[in-house]
Amino acid sequence: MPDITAAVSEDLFARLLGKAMSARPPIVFSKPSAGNVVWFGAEGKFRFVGCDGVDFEDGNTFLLSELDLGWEQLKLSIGLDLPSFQIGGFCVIPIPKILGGGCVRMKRYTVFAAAPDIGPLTIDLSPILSHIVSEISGRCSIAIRKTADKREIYVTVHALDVDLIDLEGTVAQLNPIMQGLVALAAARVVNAIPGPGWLLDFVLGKLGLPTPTSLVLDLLDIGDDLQEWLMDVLNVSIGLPDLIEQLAINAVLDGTPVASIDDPYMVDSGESLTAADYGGFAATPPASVTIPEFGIPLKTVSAEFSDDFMQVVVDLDMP
Amino acid sequence: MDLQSLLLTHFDSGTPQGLATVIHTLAEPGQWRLEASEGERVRVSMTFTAVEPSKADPPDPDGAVVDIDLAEMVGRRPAKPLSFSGIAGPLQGLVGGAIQFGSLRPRVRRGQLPYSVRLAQYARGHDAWNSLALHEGDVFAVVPMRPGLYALRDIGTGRDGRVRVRYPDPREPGTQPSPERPADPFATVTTLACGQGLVLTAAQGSRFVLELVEPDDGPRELRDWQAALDRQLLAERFG
Repeated sequence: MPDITAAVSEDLFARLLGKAMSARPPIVFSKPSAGNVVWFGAEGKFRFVGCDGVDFEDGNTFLLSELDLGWEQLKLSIGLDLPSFQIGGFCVIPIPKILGGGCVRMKRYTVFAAAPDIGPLTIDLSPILSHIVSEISGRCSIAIRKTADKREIYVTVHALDVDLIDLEGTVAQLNPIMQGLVALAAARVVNAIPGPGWLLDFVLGKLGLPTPTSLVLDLLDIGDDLQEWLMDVLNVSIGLPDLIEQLAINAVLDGTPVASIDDPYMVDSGESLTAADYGGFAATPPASVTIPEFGIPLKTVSAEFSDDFMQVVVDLDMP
Repeated sequence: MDLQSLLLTHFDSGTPQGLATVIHTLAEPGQWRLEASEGERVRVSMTFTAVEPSKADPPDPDGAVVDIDLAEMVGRRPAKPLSFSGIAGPLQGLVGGAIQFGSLRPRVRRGQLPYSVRLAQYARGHDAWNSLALHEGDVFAVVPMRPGLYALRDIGTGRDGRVRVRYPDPREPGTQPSPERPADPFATVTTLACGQGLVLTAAQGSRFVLELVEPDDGPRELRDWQAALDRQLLAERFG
């Protein structure tokens, strides 16, 4: 017969899990910008703020339905790689076929040879962090491990699914953030061609757009719906859900202890011995002695799901 | 970006630089002193050899063109003339092929002069070739970027003409046209799009000079039109 048995409900387990996750330090990441015409990157910091529910399954696995993220920092970096083109380079005179054919070519000057040509520019999403909704679900299991002075019930991950990032509600603050980005990028386009106005007009004509602002709007593909644009950047261009999934598995969920039991298990009887109960002393003993707290080593600890409870069973190592 | 190549408003076939080049076809085999000079001062002297193409080797179009950036050549080699050794130098071209001169990065700082170039005989005698007085059939190619009206003069023959570079209105983008090759550039005004090349064929003794005389800063209403467009685009996106 086991010495100690405890039953943990799904609700309590979810609260314990949420509390354990919230106690961990925030996760910091930095993804360098990359891309083709538009380069996207991100750096940020988030923590887990709570768990809304779990569902125990047979076989000691459980479904994690909603593990919420709280964002503390999120910055996007955006670079623009303008299409390069050449001035000159044309065939001036042909080379005789007897010498191999081909051309003597004009000197060529390449415009926008760098990658990226503009930026990276940083946009700070701090004003809208509370509107960024990120949730994790998945399937996990529990296991027991022994440390120096504890037996821990911890979580291992089988599969995780990070929901697409959502922007909750109407994000009025997004408007000035995006306007600032467009204005900054347009100014950088002008600075990238540090010369007279005719040269900027020549370059814009080659790129097919009449102003730096129209060029930036076209490259960034910003339409009428700014929220949809930002969610697409976060979810697809940067791949934030995939990044969060990997960070969650590597840094947090895999091995986070949900609960622990001290080993040895400390027992406090709460009783005192009274000298009068034991006679025959030559000298007068103290009136009473408190029995000190003592520890009993744990022999075995197990945890398994049964119906809607996690049954924790402890056998003490008592003679 | 280093824009100096694009901002030049004076071009001279005697001292080709920026988006300008002079091409001379090698008519006969021989060996010469190739000298780049800054004004009267020889800055570098190298051996240049022209050989008949080998019938045994397959034709190589890259070997048929010797492309010399004068500023790079001066930067790499010592100023002291190399002595004639009878051994072919590192520069070699093919008879029937071409040698091309220019300096993509122009010399525009105060006190700097652009480079002229000549092929001088090792034995006593006149220059085999000199950029300051081209041979018939030599070619001068140039891309004058700055919009406006240019004066075109052939100092060697005394002929004058005009070249106009149109303003690049971004409201009217188009594909880059092929270079203009006017049969007689002095007969009428040659009009170029901004970024379009101009190819001139020399007479004996030609020296082409192209110089901006009237800059064109574009239509006055263009800036207002661009500002109005930006306001409209920003209002559509951000309200």
